[in-house]
Amino acid sequence: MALPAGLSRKLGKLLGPQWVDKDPADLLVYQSDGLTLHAATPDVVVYPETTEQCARIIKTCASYGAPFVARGAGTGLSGGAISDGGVIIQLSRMNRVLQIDHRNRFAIVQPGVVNNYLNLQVRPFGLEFAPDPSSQAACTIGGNVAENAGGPHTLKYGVTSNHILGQTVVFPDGSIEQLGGTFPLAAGPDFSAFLVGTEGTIAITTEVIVRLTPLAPSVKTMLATFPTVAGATESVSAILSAGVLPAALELIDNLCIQAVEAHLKAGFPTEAAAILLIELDGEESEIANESAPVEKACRQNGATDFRVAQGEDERQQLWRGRKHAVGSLGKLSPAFYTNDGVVPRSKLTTILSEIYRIGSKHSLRVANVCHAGDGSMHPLVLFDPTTADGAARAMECSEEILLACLEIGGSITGEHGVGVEKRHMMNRMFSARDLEHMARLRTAFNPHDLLNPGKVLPGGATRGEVKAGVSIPGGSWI
Amino acid sequence: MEQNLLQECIHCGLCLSSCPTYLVLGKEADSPRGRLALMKAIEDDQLQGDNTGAFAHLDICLGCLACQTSCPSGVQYGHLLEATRGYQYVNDRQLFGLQKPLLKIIASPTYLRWLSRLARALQLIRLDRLLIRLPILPRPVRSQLAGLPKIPPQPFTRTAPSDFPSAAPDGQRRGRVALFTGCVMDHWYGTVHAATVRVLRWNGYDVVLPVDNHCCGALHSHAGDHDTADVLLKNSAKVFDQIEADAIIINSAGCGYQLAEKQWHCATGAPVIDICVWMAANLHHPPQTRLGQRITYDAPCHLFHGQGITREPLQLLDAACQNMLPAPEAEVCCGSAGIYSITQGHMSQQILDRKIDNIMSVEPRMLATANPGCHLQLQAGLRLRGANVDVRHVVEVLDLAYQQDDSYRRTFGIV
Ligand SMILES: Cc1cc2nc3c(=O)[nH]c(=O)nc-3n(C[C@H](O)[C@H](O)[C@H](O)COP(=O)(O)OP(=O)(O)OC[C@H]3O[C@@H](n4cnc5c(N)ncnc54)[C@H](O)[C@@H]3O)c2cc1C
Ligand code: SF4
Ligand code: SF4
Repeated sequence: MALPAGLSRKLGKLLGPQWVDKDPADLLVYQSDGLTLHAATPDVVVYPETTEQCARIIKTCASYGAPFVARGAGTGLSGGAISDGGVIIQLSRMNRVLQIDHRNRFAIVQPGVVNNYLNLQVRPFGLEFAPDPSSQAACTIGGNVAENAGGPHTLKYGVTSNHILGQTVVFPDGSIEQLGGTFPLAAGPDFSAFLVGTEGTIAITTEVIVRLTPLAPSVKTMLATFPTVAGATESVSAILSAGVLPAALELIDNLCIQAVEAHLKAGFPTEAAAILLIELDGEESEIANESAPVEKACRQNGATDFRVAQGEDERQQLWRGRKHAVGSLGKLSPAFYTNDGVVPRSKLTTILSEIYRIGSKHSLRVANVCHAGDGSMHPLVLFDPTTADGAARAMECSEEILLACLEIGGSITGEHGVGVEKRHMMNRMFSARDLEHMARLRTAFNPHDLLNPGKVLPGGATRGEVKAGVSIPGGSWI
Repeated sequence: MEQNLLQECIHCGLCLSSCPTYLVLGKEADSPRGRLALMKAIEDDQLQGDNTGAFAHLDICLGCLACQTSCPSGVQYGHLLEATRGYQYVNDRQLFGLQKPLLKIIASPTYLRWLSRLARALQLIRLDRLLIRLPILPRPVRSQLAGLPKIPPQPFTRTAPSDFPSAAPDGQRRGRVALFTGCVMDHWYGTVHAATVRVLRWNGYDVVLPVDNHCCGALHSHAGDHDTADVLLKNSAKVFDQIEADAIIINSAGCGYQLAEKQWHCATGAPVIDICVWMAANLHHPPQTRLGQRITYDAPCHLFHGQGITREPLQLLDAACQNMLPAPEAEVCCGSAGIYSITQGHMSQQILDRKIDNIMSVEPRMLATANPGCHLQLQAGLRLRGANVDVRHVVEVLDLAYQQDDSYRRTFGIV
């Protein structure tokens, strides 16, 4: 789609020409986010530094009728940060921590601040920003807000929406609004909270007030080894029914273990059908009381080994294995497709055996890492991208897996959002009426559908259909 | 190029925030993931035959390999970059104009001597001090002048004997090692070589210096000039063929990386070992008193990311200093990156500014590193900032700690 004449010149005047990219090589790299199966090329990419610049960019785009999309680090896994034509507003230069108030436990940050970077800044005060997606080394707070990101520690500390006190946003008409504040008791509806998880389709976040959480005084990380997957999943329920709420409760299956050990050597037992990585945190005495029931629950469900990480180094090594588990799969297969489904915790055993069954039906290997405590699944479908129908078969298999999640009362996305990837499945999960309400809500704020068009909602007012499978750079995954 | 290696990138983006150019510019095309996509675009001819835009982003890559450390998928970025740059070089793209002459100078001992004499002459008449303060000179040029160490009249190997006996305080001799003396290290950083030799001898090792050891071709490889690099690598192997030693010790991280990466070896098969690794394992006589100054360490990329040598320098500094202060982003590149600081001066200075901010946030009096390029660049950044911080190789810091001891000074005739 050609850009209206004059728009990029105007944008250049606003930001300085070096912060407006429009050459083919500069644009090509924005073809996809973390999901390479969908690709689309923008016409222009701009790099603002302030809220005011964002507002002016948006007003300018709106006056030309040009669509625009916000982008953080582009680690999203559902094709949310891509744009077919139009303008990408890349927020990486808005990367300053503006204020840390350690007494009142909040920080004000620009949206391009990387999750890990914020944590490095607040850790000396004994505080953390609790949401810890596995991508936290690179993903931005703005992206976390837009996707309502979660992570291993979500089980105890909740998802991003539990940690956002307020935001400054720019609406698609270019108006700047401050929502929420530095303390949680403001009167009226929590409009900031409503925006969390809207995948950048209602407003662009330009400042975030995040809640900071005190670091747990002590932490204990344990690894339980199981000869069967069911043993591991049953232990999850047993641990939680014993009244223990671990900070994290992660399941990793054999194929993932193989990948991690081939590449990183985290110390995972390669013979296990599955392992549980269990983390307890809190006061030392509290942890001491909780360890025994956890071990008992695992042993009763057939754990053959139960190990406590000795020292911070070993603990970090185990977590590195977990956080890099998905990336390591690149060592086993040139391509794989990461899914993101949720099931009720009680259905973990059922869904995993169903996933393996669906995989073998399609003759595809499926590896699993799950935030098991939350019933949040990441089935990873390994495939060969060089065969003609490799990707298509993997997608078919994935879709079947997600439908299986829905069937047992779950959801087609837990953390990674809908983006372009799962738009077409929205009507399997929501009724036509629900979808209509969502569309009306979006239209109320985004009347001309200029902000992040074509995302999340099926069909609807989509500008520029996103093409699947165009020039996939590298392997592929969600 | 190597298609399958490119395929290993799964486009996850986890490398982005470790990349110095991305940290400064915030542009995807100047991130590792972006550059890999551009390499692929060049490979697949996705840019309608005009690759200049893509090369511009590859040119300002530092080759610092931080992306390799952070990549969960084990993408061999360094390999791919060198392959792409080789492709550029062969296609005779006039890279940066300056690059080829500079690489020629470094490859030749004679040219390097002339360059050193010129620099020394400038220093003797103190013209360098004046030039540093001359605002009309571009900052990258002033930076080079500010960072230069005091150039000695002769390269280290010209003045030193070729064989040093061990000199341990307990008289015990523990072995015999050779020192890879190199090019810039030998011509400009003789003080580091001298400290290396003393520290080795004090811990019980005889030290042999090779004759006519010159450049290992590291800078040539990084720039994609593989033919020159091959010749230099071969020549430097010959020099060690006749030397019997338990190990070849190297005190330049960049050269150590080059030798490891190219699986370099001489006829005797003696392993090449970085001085930090060797000393951390063989510190038989740790300093009796530790230095009191506030000191911080900046990890050379080719040590930390390239060779995975992360702990040993810190262990040695702990043995030598009481006041080690970790600075933020210590494992992020300083912008030196071989001759990058000259060929991509503007970008290099932006990266250096961020580095100096981080270093000064812990207010050190001394800064330790372990590579000549970083040594020069960091000293430059600190001098231009007016900060009175002394940059030293890790082994020099260790030597300084030893020097607090009279018998050490007496043994080596230090007054
Ligand atoms: C290896 C890997 C592991 C991951 N693990 C997890 C995990 O454990 N948990 C999890 O929840 N997710 C995970 N993700 C997904 C992803 O990292 C998160 O969704 C993250 O929050 C995205 O942040 P980002 O900055 O990369 O956003 P982007 O990908 O740049 O953008 C994502 C969406 O947010 C919108 N957006 C971005 N910034 C703004 C803003 N300032 N205002 C408005 N809209 C905005 C974009 O338009 C887009 O629709 C993982 C991804 C990878 C690659
Ligand atoms: S080598 Fe360094 S500069 Fe180049 S892409 Fe990797 S991290 Fe960035
Ligand atoms: S971290 Fe590795 S796999 Fe991920 S984008 Fe960077 S280079 Fe590619």
